[in-house]
Amino acid sequence: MAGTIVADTLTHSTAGSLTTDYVVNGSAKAWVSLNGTGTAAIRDSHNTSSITDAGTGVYYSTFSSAMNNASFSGGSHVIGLSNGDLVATGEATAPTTTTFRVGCRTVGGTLLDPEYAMTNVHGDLA
Amino acid sequence: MSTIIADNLTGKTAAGNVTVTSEGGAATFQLQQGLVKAWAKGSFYDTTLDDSFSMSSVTDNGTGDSTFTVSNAFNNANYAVAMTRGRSASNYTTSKAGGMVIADNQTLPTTTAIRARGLDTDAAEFDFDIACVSFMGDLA
Repeated sequence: MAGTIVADTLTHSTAGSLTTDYVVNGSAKAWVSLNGTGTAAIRDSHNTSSITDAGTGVYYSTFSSAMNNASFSGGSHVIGLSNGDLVATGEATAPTTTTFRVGCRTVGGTLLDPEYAMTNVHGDLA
Repeated sequence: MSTIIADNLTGKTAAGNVTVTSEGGAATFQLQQGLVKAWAKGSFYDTTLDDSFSMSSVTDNGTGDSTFTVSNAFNNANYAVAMTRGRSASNYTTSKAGGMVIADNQTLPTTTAIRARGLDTDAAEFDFDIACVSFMGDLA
């Protein structure tokens, strides 16, 4: 190990201070950007071991390190190029400590595969 | 209680890798990866950012159509964005406001900007007066 600093507060010379619980609790614990067209694939990610194509327009990501519970906060966004405006949806599946699901639908409700599906997770790691 | 007074945090082994211990103590995560790199609260009807971090501008492309631009470019366009919308009492003049959503605008993200659309319940563009966005990913 290169070294460990144990501290409760970080102070910047001009920007102010924050307690380090904001660093630990406030950091995104996972995020992913995936390509849902063809064979679904991760574009880039953090703390994400894999994604699963759960059917047309539905994906879930699996975290490398589990959350402490399934009561984390999740956000999502989708982008498609050729199928009109799209909306990120929850797809009526509860999150687990290791997975978070996102759906992609047209404004009319039809599921389809987007060029970009993005999710992010904030909460407590185990 | 201890305090670190510093303007920069840099990893010793790798400059871009500072490791943080998780809340439960069972895992660690990379600080840089977890930080929100930019966020803003603005709107779809003008170019004012009510509050923001590392955002340079919001461009009003038309009704319900805005582009949010960050100050520092990402390493690539594969970052993750979360967006939400809302309306204040002053923007509560239509019953169509109830089911509004933010959808994409058939425009790919770039390393510095993402374009979004606000739609009402009839899928028509609508100028939300509250639009929130956050960006997570790798900065250049």
